[in-house]
Amino acid sequence: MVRYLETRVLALLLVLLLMSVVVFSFLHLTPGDPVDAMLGVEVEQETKQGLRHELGLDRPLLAQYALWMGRALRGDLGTSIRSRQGVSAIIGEKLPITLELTLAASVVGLAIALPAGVLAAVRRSSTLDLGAMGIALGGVSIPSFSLGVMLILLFALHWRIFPAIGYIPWSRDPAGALRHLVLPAITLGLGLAGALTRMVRSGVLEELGREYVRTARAKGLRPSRVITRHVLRNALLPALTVLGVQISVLLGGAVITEQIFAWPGVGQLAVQAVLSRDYPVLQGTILVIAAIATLVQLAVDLAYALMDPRIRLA
Amino acid sequence: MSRRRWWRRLLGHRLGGIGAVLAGLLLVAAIGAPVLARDDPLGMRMTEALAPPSASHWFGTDQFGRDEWARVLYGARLSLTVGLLSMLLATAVGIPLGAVAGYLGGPADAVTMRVMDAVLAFPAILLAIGLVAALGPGTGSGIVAIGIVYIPVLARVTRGAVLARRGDEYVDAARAVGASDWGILRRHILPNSSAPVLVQVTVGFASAVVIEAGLSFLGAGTPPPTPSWGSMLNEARQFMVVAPHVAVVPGAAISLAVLGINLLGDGMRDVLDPRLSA
Repeated sequence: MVRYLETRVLALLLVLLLMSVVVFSFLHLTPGDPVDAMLGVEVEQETKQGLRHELGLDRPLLAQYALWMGRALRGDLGTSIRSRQGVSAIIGEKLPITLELTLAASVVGLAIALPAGVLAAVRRSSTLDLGAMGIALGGVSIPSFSLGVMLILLFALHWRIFPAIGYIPWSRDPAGALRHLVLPAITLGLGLAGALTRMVRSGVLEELGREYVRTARAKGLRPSRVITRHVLRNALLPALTVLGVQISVLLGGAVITEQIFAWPGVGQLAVQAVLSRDYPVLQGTILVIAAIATLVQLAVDLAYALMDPRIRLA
Repeated sequence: MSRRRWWRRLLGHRLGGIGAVLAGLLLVAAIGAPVLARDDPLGMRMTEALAPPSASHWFGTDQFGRDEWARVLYGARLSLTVGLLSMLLATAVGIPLGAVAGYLGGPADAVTMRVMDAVLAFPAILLAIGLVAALGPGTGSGIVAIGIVYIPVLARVTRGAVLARRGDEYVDAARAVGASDWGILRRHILPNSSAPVLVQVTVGFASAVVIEAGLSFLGAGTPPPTPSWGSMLNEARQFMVVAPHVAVVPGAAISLAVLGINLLGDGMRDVLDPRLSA
């Protein structure tokens, strides 16, 4: 386990380092002068020179990276060229709002995928199975922006059950916060539900064919108990690894979902940064979201290793 | 498997068949847009703005009185072009990278795959947004960005397939009769690795359509007035209280297109490579 942990953490550090190079290079992929791209051509030379110096663009490329990375490691992601606020501070303020949405979406995804996947596997090839797989396929195929807009159309504009857009902090009004959370969480969570349902179903199907299931049944255990006590434990492990990968998809999906529902998280921040060409904010946001996705992936893999004795004891 | 038998099995595969039909419709819409559209997709008629579906405008009109049917058809053309070109870029770079890494092994493999891991670790849409921001918004940037996002996916699948074939007997046989590394890779290993790669390209195509629409939805993709399903849906949000059809039409178009390509990919997976199906 220690060896496994070592290799995984080393690989993670390497991936994080390479990711930072990718994010760093965004600024340098820009055709022409990035300062012109950010400020426009009409701005005075002095202002441009100031920004160039602030971003370190007047130094050699390697020194620029070292400067940027050194600051980033100390938690300083630079200053927004639009609002002049510290990028780390802005992200720190908006990140919890995004995590709230992704957490709620994970709950939605699991709440749908677990029962749907198990039922589809137990009643294999029935109408129920076909229905569950149909919904799973829809969940994977319908892009979040289509789904979100349709949900607003039906549940906010037509039936007026939930508010169309906006965010309310839990501390201010818990009931209102929940009402505002429902549609975005479903929009983001349904894709996850789709991917997980298929994994849970195939995991349960595989376990159902095993000897221990026959033994459990033979000793007279109720079918529901065979599933909950024996099958689920083993079937959910592979689904867990998918959840790790899906967190990355979820964080990416949050970018679009936040835009649809005017949800003031880091996703919306990233989009605004693109549209206003605020590179320090864009780089900071992408770096933080990608780093979180990678760390969650590692955490999930470690949890998997802890639960699976074949890896834990190796 | 002969090509004809392959197609018959795909069409016989219930969901794969539906996928093939939907994808076929998408292709027809894209290629036939100039003939099928009964109106100019850019022609504005403010007096007819936000008209509901009728005999003269099958899918109604948008806020500028432009025909939604024509715009959806031309939107299909854009989606398909972006999907095709971005996958072309991703395969042109990803397949050689993965093949060489898998065949050579050792440090070349390790270095290539760690770089691919780093690119893969980004949420796809976020990386695409970052790249588009760097390259400047527009359809071309979108194609390049989506292509780059998919390079590691194809490199990884190709590498896996090549690794699986590398030890096969026919490879040993080819080497024994003096075939070069390059010849073995090109003539023996790659053709036998095509099934999983082809499936992945199909799935990637669906993602490309989604990402293009997503970028346009966010305002970072194809700029107006060019009809893109994503920007159509985004603009529709302001008007959907009075004219729900302007949101439903592009929303349904994207969903059906992606569903069709995904079903086709699933069907191909089952038909081409039964070992991979869940």
